[in-house]
Formats: sequence, structure tokens, C-alpha cells
Amino acid sequence: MQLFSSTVAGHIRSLLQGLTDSNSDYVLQELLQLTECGLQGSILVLQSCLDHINYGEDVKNGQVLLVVRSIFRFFLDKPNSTTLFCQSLRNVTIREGFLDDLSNALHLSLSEKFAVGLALSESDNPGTKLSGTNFCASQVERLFANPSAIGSTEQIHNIFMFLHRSGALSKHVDMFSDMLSLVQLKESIPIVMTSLLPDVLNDSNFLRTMNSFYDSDENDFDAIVARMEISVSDVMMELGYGCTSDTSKCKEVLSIFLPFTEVTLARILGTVVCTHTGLEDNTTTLSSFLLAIAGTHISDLRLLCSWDAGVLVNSIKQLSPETNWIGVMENLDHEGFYIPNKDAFTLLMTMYKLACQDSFPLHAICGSVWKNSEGQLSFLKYAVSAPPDLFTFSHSVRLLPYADVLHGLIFQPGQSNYAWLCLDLLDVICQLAERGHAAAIRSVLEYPLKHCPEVLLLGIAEIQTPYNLLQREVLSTVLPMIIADASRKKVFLQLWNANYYLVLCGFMDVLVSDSDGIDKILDICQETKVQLPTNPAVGLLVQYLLQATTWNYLTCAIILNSVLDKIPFSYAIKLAAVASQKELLDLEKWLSDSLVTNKGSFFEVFMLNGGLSMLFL
Amino acid sequence: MDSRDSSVSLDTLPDDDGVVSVTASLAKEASVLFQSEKFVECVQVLNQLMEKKQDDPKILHNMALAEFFRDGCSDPKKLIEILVNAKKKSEDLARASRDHMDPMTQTTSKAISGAKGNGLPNNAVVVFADEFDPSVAALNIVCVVATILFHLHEYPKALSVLEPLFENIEPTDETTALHVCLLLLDAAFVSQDAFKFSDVINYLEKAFGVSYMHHQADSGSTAQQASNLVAKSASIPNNSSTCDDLKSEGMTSGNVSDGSLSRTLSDETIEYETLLSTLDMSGQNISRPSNLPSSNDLRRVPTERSTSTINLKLQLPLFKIQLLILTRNLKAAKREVKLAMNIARGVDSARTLLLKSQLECARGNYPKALKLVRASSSQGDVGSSIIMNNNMGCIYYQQGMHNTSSIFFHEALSNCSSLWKEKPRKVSTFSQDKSLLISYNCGVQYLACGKPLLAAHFFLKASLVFYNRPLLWLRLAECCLMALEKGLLKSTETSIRESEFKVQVIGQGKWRHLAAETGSLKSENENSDERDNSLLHSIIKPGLSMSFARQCLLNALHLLGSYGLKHVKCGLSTRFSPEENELSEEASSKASQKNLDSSEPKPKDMASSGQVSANGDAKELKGGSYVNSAATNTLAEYEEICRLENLKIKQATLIDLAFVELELGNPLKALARALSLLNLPECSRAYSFLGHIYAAEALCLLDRPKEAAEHLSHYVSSGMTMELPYTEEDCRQWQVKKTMDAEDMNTPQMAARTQGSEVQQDNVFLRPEEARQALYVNLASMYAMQGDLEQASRFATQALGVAPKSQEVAVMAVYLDLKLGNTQEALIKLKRFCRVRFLPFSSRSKVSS
Repeated sequence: MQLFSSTVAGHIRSLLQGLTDSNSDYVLQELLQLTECGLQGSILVLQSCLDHINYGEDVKNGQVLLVVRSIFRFFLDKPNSTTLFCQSLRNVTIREGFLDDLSNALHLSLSEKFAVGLALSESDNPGTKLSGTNFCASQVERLFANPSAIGSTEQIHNIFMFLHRSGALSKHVDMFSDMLSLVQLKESIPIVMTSLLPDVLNDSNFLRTMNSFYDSDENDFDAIVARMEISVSDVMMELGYGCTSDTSKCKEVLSIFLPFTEVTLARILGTVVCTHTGLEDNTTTLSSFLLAIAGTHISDLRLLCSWDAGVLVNSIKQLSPETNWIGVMENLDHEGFYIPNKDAFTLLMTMYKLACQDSFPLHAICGSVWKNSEGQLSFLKYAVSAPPDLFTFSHSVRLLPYADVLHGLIFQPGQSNYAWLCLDLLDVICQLAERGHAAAIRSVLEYPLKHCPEVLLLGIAEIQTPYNLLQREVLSTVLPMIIADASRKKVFLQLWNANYYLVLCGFMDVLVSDSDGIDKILDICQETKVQLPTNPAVGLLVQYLLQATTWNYLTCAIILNSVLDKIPFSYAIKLAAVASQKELLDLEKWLSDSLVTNKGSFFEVFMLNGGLSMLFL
Repeated sequence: MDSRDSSVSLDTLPDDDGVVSVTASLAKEASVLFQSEKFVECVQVLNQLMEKKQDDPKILHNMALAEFFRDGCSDPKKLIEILVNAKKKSEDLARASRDHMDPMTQTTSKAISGAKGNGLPNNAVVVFADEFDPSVAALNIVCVVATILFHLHEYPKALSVLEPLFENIEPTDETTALHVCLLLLDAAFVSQDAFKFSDVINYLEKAFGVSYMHHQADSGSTAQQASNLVAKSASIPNNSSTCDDLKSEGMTSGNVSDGSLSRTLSDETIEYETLLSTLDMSGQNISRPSNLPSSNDLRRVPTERSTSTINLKLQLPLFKIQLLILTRNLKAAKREVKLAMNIARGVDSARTLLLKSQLECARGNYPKALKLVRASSSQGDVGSSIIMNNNMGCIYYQQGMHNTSSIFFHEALSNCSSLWKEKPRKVSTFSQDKSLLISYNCGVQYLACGKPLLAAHFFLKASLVFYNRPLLWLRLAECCLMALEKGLLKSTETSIRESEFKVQVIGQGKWRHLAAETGSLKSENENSDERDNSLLHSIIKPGLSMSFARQCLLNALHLLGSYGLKHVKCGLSTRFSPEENELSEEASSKASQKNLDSSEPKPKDMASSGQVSANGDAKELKGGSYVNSAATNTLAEYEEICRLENLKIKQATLIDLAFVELELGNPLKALARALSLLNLPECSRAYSFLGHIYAAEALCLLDRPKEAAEHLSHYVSSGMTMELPYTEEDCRQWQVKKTMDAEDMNTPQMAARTQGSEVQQDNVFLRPEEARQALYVNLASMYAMQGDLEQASRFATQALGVAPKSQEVAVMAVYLDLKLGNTQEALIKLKRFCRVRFLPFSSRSKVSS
């Protein structure tokens, strides 16, 4: 830390010392860039500039002054100028006249002088504080004489506070209000200022500060009123379950908020689902509300301990028969949507079924990652484990392509609602895992990993994401199982066809963790008679391995180089060594080529792996 | 009123007979025209008068009024301007004529009274028998100005105009004095100035012979009354103890649950009460005969109600109730209400009902309050439905039903805007339009609902009226802080911490690289972008920023300071919204603090003991000798309440300021603010915890780790153990107790409701456990900075034990593991805790980095 700051300080000094006409822009840029390193950087820059002005011999150098002045201005506009200036001057004893000299040397404007003074007047060092205060006080009169010098409302505000602090306010209050009136307050909130002045009749200020709300016939209040947001769903929550005690009351409450948008309805459903239990029931709340809003007297409210889905949906359907319920489902992605438990999920599905005959729009929940990803996750969590009569993925347009290998697998437990065959679901789950929900997703996947690992792997192999985080995790769990268990090997071919790249990664894991890895992989490849992928660039490793087992030198030789190019150096070297043992490769040539193409990084890996010794295992 | 003024002008030209007759007849004509609402003709006549007698302030005054009405009351500001000028002229005149006018005074005044007797019985204002004419005119003018100001909701200004009049009220004639008093009562009430309010009531009682006892005598036996009074004074200490939140410390658990409204809610309560009463008050005004320039309205009011003491006799108890509610002496208020209901049967019943409803609301009996509000607005005109809707909104708000309350506020505001569309406009339109006052309520409500931008809009509107209340500025600052928390502000110096890491994936296969985004290069997070679009651009941006928050807080502090100088006024209390949570969270994540050699913890060094004793003293006094004046007691208690409330506001303001300064990268000021908070004599433990944390962070930023460590070490006792920095009790101190007497309300229900709302409300502060966890993290990072990794990782482990799910703790622990070389351990923790978000490498981020 210390080291760093002294280095930076040295850098700044040399920049300032080397300042010439030609490089001043560059120096300024450099210095400003240093200020981006946070408070410390800024203080260092300012401190160095001040030191340079103070002790530097070349104060006469116009360029230095220009640069320092720019730096000064830059810092004066900062909201934290107090800290910046006080900290920069903390090691300097401020002699009398220092600030005058400084501001003269830098040709500071009145407003800038004031800013410096104000900044220092709030120092915790009494000496600095005093000189700052005195400096400001000496500028006050001039400022009032020339009010247009003031930069911003914020500065006026600061000056006011300063005057107040120093007890000089009463003396200057008239001038201050005069100044206020002269300065064009272009900024949005001059009320911040006007409120500070005392109310005295006959004061010129009295009328000026009178609010202008009634000045004109039209005011913008209507505009604001029109934009007032009332959240129906929250109101319902506040009123409690009684809202759904019967259709007429429910309609009465809801009709306040007509017309409904799909968003509104989605929010209502979301709230209802989220609060399906646990709200205290209080019938008086509702009855007094209805009395207040519509003058209806109600005596016989039935006591509910949850929402009545039927009443709610019927009321909505009656009030808004044209509702597009698919659209409502598409809007479930909103802040606060969350399914707390299985019952809540059941309630949501019940309401949907009551509302709409169509099968559930899967694209609404697994078309893409929601903004409220937690809510989406909570939905999916219960959806995947729901019984098929409650929720099913069977109508998904992107189901895992059916193949012979799947036969038998899809009747494994956990498959009845087709969840793990739905590629959209897997896609969104993979994306969610990469959006920070990996832990939650892992727990969702526990069940399929236990009960239908192959199906899961086959499905997930179809998915591509930026990091392939989940795919790799599933693979590293399931692939060893497949390799270890002969009865499961039939999946391999389909897996290979789906995503050979993923399989390669899996192989790589096996290579790392298992010394017999290469042999096992070769076995599995041979047994399942993996077809050569049509895209040679990717499936090369397996191709190579297969060829290697059949000693098909020619094919191997052709593709080997590109294989070696595709996998990490350390494995490439290993593979190259094996290949050379099997006389598939001219190791020496490959090594020298690789060194030429990849230079240092290759060499590094090479040496790390024990150099040539490992080539002759 | 104008006719009165014309009559005055008629009498003020004694120098020349001929002129007198001409001007007199003209003035009379003008007066008649004015009375019959022929303002155009009236202005013409007045113009003729003006030619005869230029610069006569009375004519100027009359002219201004006539023109004002002629133009449909469109420009009250101009009216005031003219009147203020007229007043200046009349003052000049007075000065000039002081010497030679003396002998004339007698005749003049006689003439005036004659004119008055002549059949302008409903003149609201004002003949001053014993003053010079010019000053009579000036007085008139001032009264009119004050009234207009009042109508325009310029309460502080109205007060500033009225106060001098009241101080010098003795020489003024009875009617004027009464009007001044009534107007002052209203203005003082709206401004929450209980002291002024009670002064005026006392004066009215004395001057108009409608004292309390007198009034009691009307209703029944004096003896009974006396005993009533005794009972009242005896009951006050109990009452105060329930109101007094500080007592909560010593309370048994049963009592505590009694006051179980969370602080947020109950503080708001006060605020709402305030406004509720505000609205009630000014609502009354509409029909109150004391309102001078609403002469249009005035005529509709039966004349016998205008200025009689009989009427005053009925009104005074109502004012007293207002005073008692304002000073939160609910028991006494309840008693008064009962009496008032008996006496004032049929007269002004709407007002009585409103007051009663307000009382029930303050006592927490919301269903009853709602019923009363509804009952109060049987007339169904726009003005009263505004009041009704607003009050219902307030009542719902107090029950914790914030969203429901917005329905009513919305309704009330819609009523207001429909009021404006009515033509022709009357003066009463201005005062009936409560939109500025309701705005404040809306602001509070939206703040509670977590919509800072809307809230800020409303607060800014309300600032036109409430600009001299510190609480308003605190609220505005809170809006900024909440907006910051929600990512709605354009980031300032430091960017907001995210709870997840974002990592960009660049390249594929063996070439794949991960790029972690750092603060300054962070590409805009898409979420906040979208929110920006939907919120910021859908409404006019209110210009919130951290700098603005600082200005607001400085204003609040400034206003608090000037309150401290005068006697304490302002009954607004502080509500601290959830952002305080965020604040300290912030501190914990940002801060890198120091731990000293674990010095003694000072859990008891808070000032609460001092408070309690002071409080006890006060009570003894009260219990003692002031049998004769319940009001004195009430006021004394109220003063204490105000003092404590202001203290709360001050603490909140200071801690907010410290946070804002940190956020602005201004640790020096942040430190100063935190220290001045810590130096407050009665700083709450929860706030002082934040104060220490912020101070420590500021000191770290200033490269003074040793001092920072001192602040943190407050909480570390020997070795590694750490007590909770504060307790639930300390947090609860901030909840204002409700007076809940069980006698008549449907109690079980009520209790259920209040408990429910407590659950709903999130606590203002971090839970003490979270606070301790923040301390652990800070201590750990402080040691890490100093290079004492062993100690640091011990604290990190502690923190993990307390808060296994916290992201900050996990990051801290992982960092330490890496520093100590335990990569495996770090990996395990990372897998378990970290929420890493992988993003495809996008061109946008390429540009930004």
C-alpha cells in the first residue's frame, strides 16, 4: 500500500516536472486517469499538484499552472472536495495568505475561491479550518456584489450553511436572498434553498418564496395523480382472504381497479399464491373497507383460512371475460412472484385450470430466464416434481428426440410428467445455473440424478450455454456411472451424437482422475461403435482413439494434428507421446511446430509436465 | 368585508365636506355592489374613487379585493402583493399623520361604529375604534393577507403575519381580535405549534369569558367538573407513561406487546395524525365564520353563527380537543370529546365527529375511527369528501395497509383536481384543495411501499407547504437512499455492491477465459437499465441524487437546529424506513475496520438511563401540584415528547448524512457526522452502533486504522467473544407506544391486527445478530488489512458461524483462505456459498472495458 502510493506520487511528480507545451494534454489525461483509482488516487494527485505549486521552482511555467488549475477545477466540482482538499493539505501548515497566494497563482474565479474556502472550512484541523473560514468570510462581500459568479444551487446552499455556521447569516440574510433572486436557478429543485430563509412580512423575500403552485390554472398535479400506482394485489393481501368469500364481494373489491391488464392479473395470482396461507383473517377489515369504498354494509362474511380460488377466478372472469390467460401466465415474471411450497403451486395450477382450458403455456416459464429468476426457479422446482395431472411438460414442442435408447428409460420414475425430456426446461435450468443459482439447481437435479441420470444427461447434452457449467457437472456425475456400468453403455452413442464436445470434456475429466482413463475410454468407444461424427473438427479425439485401437495409421496421422490442436497442451503432449509410441506421429516435428506456433505458453506447460521425460513414460 | 372597508374609507376623509360626501356615496355604492357580487361594476366605482383619492390604502385594498373576485380568484399571489404594498403605504401614512390626526380619532371611530351599526352585520372584519385610520386599514390588510396566506396553505407565512398581531392584541376591538385569534389557532394548529395554540386558547378563555369552567357550568354541575379536573390531572402520569416510548425498556413483556406496533408504523402514525388534524382543521375552516375574505362563502353561513361568543363557546371545547390530540393526551381528549358531543349537539357536528374519529384513530381503534369519518361527511360535497378520503387513507395507513390507503389518497387527490375544474373559482377553492397536504401523505405511503421516485415527487409537492419541517427533508433524503438501494440512481463515486459476482466468459474450449468485472468497469446491469426506463422516464425525474440527499439532510439539520433555539415545536416524529437496514449492510460490506486490543465493551454507555431519570423527574412534577391546569401538564409532556422526537430525527439525519458522505466519497465529513451523532447525549444504542461502524469506515478510508479499531473495539469484550451491539429492546425503543385502554374497544380483534402489522413491518435496524455479524466481518477485514491473517480468519469463522448464508462473510472467508494458501478449503467454500453469474462476453462490455 505504502509502496504503491509512493510509486504513484513519484510518477505524478515526474509527470509534472516533465511538463512541456507539447505534452500538457497527455499529462492532464494521465493525472485524471489516476483520480479514477478512488479517494487515495485523487488525494495523491491533488497533493502532488499542491506541493508542486508550493515548492516547485517552475511556478512560472504557464503549462504547469494550466494543468494544475484544470485539476483543481476538476476536484472542486466533486461532491467530496472537503475530504480531497483537507487530506491533501494535511501535512502542510497553512500560513497566512496561503489561500490568497494560491488562488492568485491559479487565477481562480470567485466561485472557485469560495469552493476552496468552503472545503477547508470544514476541516478537522483547527488551523486549516480557521484559514478556510477566514478566506470565505473575506470573499463574502465580493460575492454578494457579484452574485452571478455563483455556479450552482448546491454552492449557494453550501454558502448559506457556511454563513449560518459562522453566525454571519443574520447580517447577510438580505443580501443572500437578493442574490438568490438574481441567480438564475436553472436546476430542478430551488425549493431546497428557498425553504431556508425566514418568513418575514415586508421582506422582499416574502413574496418571492411564496409557492407558485397556484400561479397557473393548470398544474401538473393531474399528471402525477394519473401516474399514481395502486397495486391491486397488495391491496388484496392487506384486505385478507375475506375478499374471496363470495363472488359479489370479490367483484366489488376488484371492480375498483378495472380495467385489468394481464400484468395486473398476473400480479394478483402471484400474490394469492404467495400468501395462500398465513394471512390473519379479519372479516371486519373487509367489511369496513367495503363500507368505506362503496357504502355497502356486510354482516355475513364467511371466515376463510385461505383464498378461494374458484371465487377469485370466477370474479375475474365475470369482470373481464376477454382475459387472455396465456398472456397472464406470460406475465408471471414480476417482482415478488414466488412459490413458497407445493400447496401454493397446486393453487396456482388450480386457478389456471379454472380460468382456462388450454394447456399451460410452457414458454412462459421456460422460454427464457426471467428477470425474477428466483421466482422462476421456485416455479420450476415444483413443476418438475408435480404429478402429471397437475402439471406436465408433455406438450412441449422441444422434447428430447425419441430414440431406441430412450425406450425403457422414459418409464423410469420421475418421468411421468416428461419434465426431464423437455429441452426448454433443461435449457432454462442450465442458464439459471449460470446466473447464480447453481446451488438451488443442484438440489432440483438431485432427484433426476438419482432416478434417471441417463435421461438427464442426454437432455442436457443438447443444451449450449456460455459456460456449460451445469452440463459439465451433470456429465462429471453421470459419465463415470455410464462408463462403470456396462448395462448403461447403450446411451453412449446417442450422447455422442448429441454433443461430442461435451463427451470430449467428459473424457478429459476421466483422463485426469483415472490413470486407466485412456483404456476405459477406448473400450467404451469400441463397444458402442461410435460413428465418426460428420464434423471432423470436433470429434477428433475419439476418432483418433478409435483409429488408434485399430492401428489405422493413415487416418490417425491425418487427424492427429488437429486433435492435438483442440485439447489443452498438457493432454496434447500426453497424447502425442502415446501416439508417437504407436508410431503415429513424428514427435520431434510436432514439438518444434508447437513451439513455433504457441511459443511461451506451450513451453511453460511442457516444462511443467516434466519436459521430455514424460514423453517416454 | 369589503363593504366594511368601504365604510372605513368613507369615514377617513374628514378634511373636506364636499369630498367626503362624494367619496362617501361612491364608497357606499361600491360596497353595495360588492355585497351583491357585482364585482365588475364595483371595480368601476372604485376606479372613480381612486381618481378622487389616490394612494389611499383602503381604496387600494378594496380595489384589490374586488378585482380579485372579479377575476375569479385567479391570482391570489398578486392580491397579496398589492395588499402588502398597500400596507406599506398605510404605514407611511400613519407615520406622516401621527401628529396631526390625533384630535380626529374620536370622531372617526364614532363614525365607524355608526357605519357598522348601520346594517352591515355580517362584516367579518373589523372596525378598530381606538386606532388611527391608517393603521386600521393596515390591520385590515394584514388580516386579509394572513387569511389569504392561510388559504394558500402558506402556514408559516400566515403565522409570521399573525403572531405580531396577537402579541399586540389588547387594543384591537373584540371582533377583530376574535378573528385574529381564530385564524391564529388554525395556523398554529396546522404548524403543530401546540404552545402558540394553547396561548391563544388561554387568551380566548380570558378575554371572551368562555372559560372552561364557564362552559362546564353550562353543561352541568361545577362541582362534578372540578372533580373531573382532579381526576384528569391524576391520570396524566399514567397516560404519559404509555405514550412515552422510552419507558419500554422497563416494561414487562405484557406491556411491551401492548405497544406492539412496529416503530415504523407508529411513528408514521404521529405523522399522519398530524396531517389528519391538519386536514380536519383546514376543513373546518371552510365553513368557519372566522374566515375573513371568503366573504362569498360567508354569506351562506347563517349570520348568527358569525361572531358570537355563543358560537365560540361551542367551538372552544373543540379547539381544546384539538390541542389535547395534538399534544397526545388522548385520555383527556376522550373525556373532552364526550363532553363536546353532549354540548354541541347538532352544531358543527361534522367537525366533532372528525375530531372524535381522529381520537379513535390515535387510540388505535380503527374500525370506530372509520365509521366516524364516514359519518362526518354526510353532506357529500367535494370539500368534505376530500377530507373523508384522506382521513380514511390515513386510518388504513396506520393499520399497516399501505396499499389500501393509496386508494383513498388517490380518490382524495382526484377530488381535489375536480375542485379546480369547477368555475368560477372561489377563495375557498384554494383552501379546500388539500392536494399539497395529501401529497405528503402520498409520499409517506409510497415510501413505505418502496417506491422512492413516486414518493419523492409527492414530497417535493408537499415541500411547498411543509418546507420548514425537518422531517420532510429527512424523508426526501430517504427517498434518495431507497432509490440508491434499488439501483435507481445513476451511480455516484462508489458503485453499489451487488450480491452476486458477474463473470464474463470469453472464448471457448482451451482458450476460454473468465473475466471478472470490477467496480469501475462494470457494465450497466440490465435489470437496472430496464427499471430506469420504466420508472425514470415514465415520470418526470425528480432529480434525486446523493448530493441532493445531502442537501436535504443539511436542511433538516438546519431546521432542527433552529427549532432547538426556539422552544421545541413540530410534532413530527421520525420513521426510519428499511433503508437503514441497507445502510448498515452497506457499512459491513464496504467497511474495513480495525479491532483494538479488545477493550471493555460499554453496553451501558448509552444515554438511556439519563433519559429515564429525566423523564421520571418530569413525572414527579406532574404528579405534584398542578391540579388546576391540566393543560400545563399536557404541554410540559408534549414538550418532552417533541424533544425526544426531534432527537430521533436528529439521530436519523446525522446517521443518514454520515452514510451519504461515505457514499459520496467524503470520509472526512462522514467521520464528523458520525462523531457528532456519537456525542449526542441520548443517542440510541442502535444508532450509535451505526455511528461507530461508519466512523470506523471513514477512518479506514482516511488511512487512520488505529482510530478505526477503537470504534470497533467498543463491542469486543475479552478475546473473541462479542456481545450483541444492541438488543431488540433498543430497537423497540423507537416504537412509539400507543395508548390502548381496554375499556371500550373490541380488544381481541385489535390486538390481532396490531400484531399482524408488526409482523408485516420490517424492522428498522439490522437485527442485533446481523449487526454482530457485520462487526465480525469488519473486524476480520481490518485484521486482514493489517496482515494478521490468523486473527482475521478466526473472526471470519465466527462470522460464518453466525451467518452461514451471507455472501459477504463467504467472500471474506474465501479471501482469507486464499491468502493463507488453503486453496482446497477456499474451493469448497466457493462451491457452497458463492453465487457466480456467468455472462456471455458481449460487445457492449467489450466497449466498456
